[in-house]
Order: sequence, then C-alpha cells, then structure tokens
Amino acid sequence: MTDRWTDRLSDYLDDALSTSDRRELESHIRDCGDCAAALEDLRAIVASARALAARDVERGMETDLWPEIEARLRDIPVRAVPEPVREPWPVHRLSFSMAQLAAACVAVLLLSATAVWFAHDWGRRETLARSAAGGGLITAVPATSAPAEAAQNEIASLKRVLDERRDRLDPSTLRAIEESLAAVEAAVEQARLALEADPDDPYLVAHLEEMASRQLTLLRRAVDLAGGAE
Amino acid sequence: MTPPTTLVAPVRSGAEAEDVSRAQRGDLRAFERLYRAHVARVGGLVRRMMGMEHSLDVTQDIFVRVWQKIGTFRGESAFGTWLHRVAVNVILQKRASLRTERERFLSDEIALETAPARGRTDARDFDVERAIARLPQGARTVFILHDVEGFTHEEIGVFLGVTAGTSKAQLHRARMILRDHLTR
Ligand SMILES: [Zn+2]
Repeated sequence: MTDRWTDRLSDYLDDALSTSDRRELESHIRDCGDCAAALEDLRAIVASARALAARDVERGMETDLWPEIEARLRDIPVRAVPEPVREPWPVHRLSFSMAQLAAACVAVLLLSATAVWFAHDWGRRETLARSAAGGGLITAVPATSAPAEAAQNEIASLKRVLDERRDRLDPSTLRAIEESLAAVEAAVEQARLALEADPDDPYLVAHLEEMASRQLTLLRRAVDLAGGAE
Repeated sequence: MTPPTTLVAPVRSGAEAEDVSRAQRGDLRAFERLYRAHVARVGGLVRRMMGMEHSLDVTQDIFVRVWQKIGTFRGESAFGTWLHRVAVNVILQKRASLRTERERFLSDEIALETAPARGRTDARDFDVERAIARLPQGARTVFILHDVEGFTHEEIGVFLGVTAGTSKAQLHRARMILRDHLTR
C-alpha cells in the first residue's frame, strides 16, 4: 500500500523535510505499518549502498591497469594550465566529531560485512560452503541452538540498555548506530528467511551465524559508546 | 545523514598531497601511487555506472584524463573527491557517446518489469549489486552518484543536466525499485 507519505520517505531519510513535515511523517509512521516497513527497508538499502564503496577498497582491483596507463601517459605532457574547476564538495562531508567518527567506523565495519550478504560473490559462497561442510563447525541452525538462545537474550538486553541511554548519544551518532542496526537486522532476517527455504545450505547457516554475531558486536559497541554496560 | 565512506580521505591526505604535487610536476611514480590508492573505488564506480563490458577501458581513460588535468587541481577539495568528479565526467561522456544520455535518462523503461520474478528465498534476490545493475539507467545513475558516491542532488543535477528535483525523484524511484526487488 502507498499513501501520500510513501514518496516522502526518501526525503525523510536524507533529512530533507521541513521540521513540520518531519514531525507529521514521524507521527504518521507510528500508525502506518506500511510506511514504517518501507522506511526500514529503504534505510537498509541506503546503508548497504554506502558499504559498497568500502567493499571496493577491500576487494581491490583484479586487473593491474597501470602498465597500459603508464604507456599512454609517456606520450602526454602534464599541462598546468588552469581550467575552470567545479566547486568542491561541501566541507561538512569531510569533518567529523570523534563520536561521529567512532560511530562511522562501527557502521563501516559492520556494513561491509552486511554488504557481503547483499553483494557477496558466488566464489565466496562456495568457499564458505566448503569450509563449513568440511570443517563441521556448524551442525545446527543457530536460531534453535542453546548458544544462539543466549545470544538472543543478550541482544534483547543490550537493546533495552541502548534504548534507556539514547539521550546520552549525540543525535548523529545515534542515527548512525540505528542505521547500522537496521541494516544488520535486515541481513539477519533475510538470512533467516533464506534458511527457512533451504535449511541444508551450509553457506546460509554460516551466514546467519555471522550476521547474528555482527549484530551482537554492534550492540555491544553501541552500548559502550553510550557509557558502558555498568 | 552521516557522511559516506570518504572518511578515509583526510587520514592519508599528507602523503597524498605530496604525491599530487609531484605528479603535477610530471612524476610518474607519484602518479602511480595515486593510481594505486584510488583505482579500486574508481573501478567500482565505473563498473556500476557502465557495466563490466567497458569498465577496464574507461577506468584507464579516467586515469589518463586525471593525468592531463592534474595541473588544474588546486587542493580546494580532497584529491579523491576531485578525482571522482573527473571520473564521473569521463563516464558520462563515454556513455553519451554510446547513447544519448539525456534521452535515456528521461525515457528509460523499467527493466525489472521484464526481468524474471524470483522467490523471496532465492539468495540472489538480496544481491544489491545485481539489483543496482538491473535498475533503469536514469535511476541507477542517480542512486550510484547519491547513495554510493555521496554527491548531492545539486551536484548530480549539474552532472546530468537535470534539476535537483528530478534527481531526487529518480533517487526515490531507484530505492523503491530496489526495495521491491530485494524484499519480494
Ligand atoms: Zn503510510
């Protein structure tokens, strides 16, 4: 279902709504499950898009283009003739408070892992499947095992603590954390759904376990940032 | 919103600034270091914008263009930011020479409508890269430039010759199509 707010959700995510529209949308979302669900999905999509660039760096470039480029450059002199240059990016994109930086690091760390799910290549999938099958590390669906239950309990209690301490966090830090959490929770949920249909896929089992453990790590760090577990 | 992945840029800016100024004086070794520091992200940008077919050629062209223009870089932005602008312009020119960009931006069809539907449990449904590749070109371009690369709608409007409003609308459209594809 869509309504008049559906097409404002991106503006909301990008902080491009007026204060009054933002408040109205926030109150609408409390009553409209469709918009709330769409917002969560869009948040996860934006978060995974951001993680792609970090993933490019992790993966590197498979083909070394330098020899060919160098051969072409040898025939081209560098000209220091000033040409009109477009305005640079706004400076605020490059300056961070320490808290933002910490949150961003947590986000990038976790989201690049999420991106492995969203954008994993099939070679990796096979590698994981082989190692999971050969190593015999994973013998049960984590959601039903005792350690997984303990993890679920810890996740729930960390969420409660984080919720109580929201006010201690800088709003932009909180938002970064919430975005990361949404992304990793979406990844956990998607892994769970995929596993329901294909319970014997060792990659999916390993992946769900990995995502659940990332979720836990993120929550622990978030609680740390908000003043520790006490 | 929190900043995109450009957060690594300021950290290496010291040594990088030195390499930039050496490269501006014609030092190929310094330029090679700049190439190695940036090629992975530039390569990713090209691949997403153009597909695999032309990606290696265009990535090469970008670094050749950067070499030609590096004398004009005046340090007003991070070098990586400047380089990505040059890259976007090379990519768009290349694409325009393959097909008129504006025409396609305004009249592209929804590729997903004709794509085979998959069950929600197919793991590939969650593959954002594949989903991006299947977006209509206009929506894909804006999504990559805004959500992956971190450009503003105003900047994207200048790149593409459209208004910031059009860019915004395409971005939302892209995200909704991706959602449809990834959560179906
Ligand atoms: Zn609604």
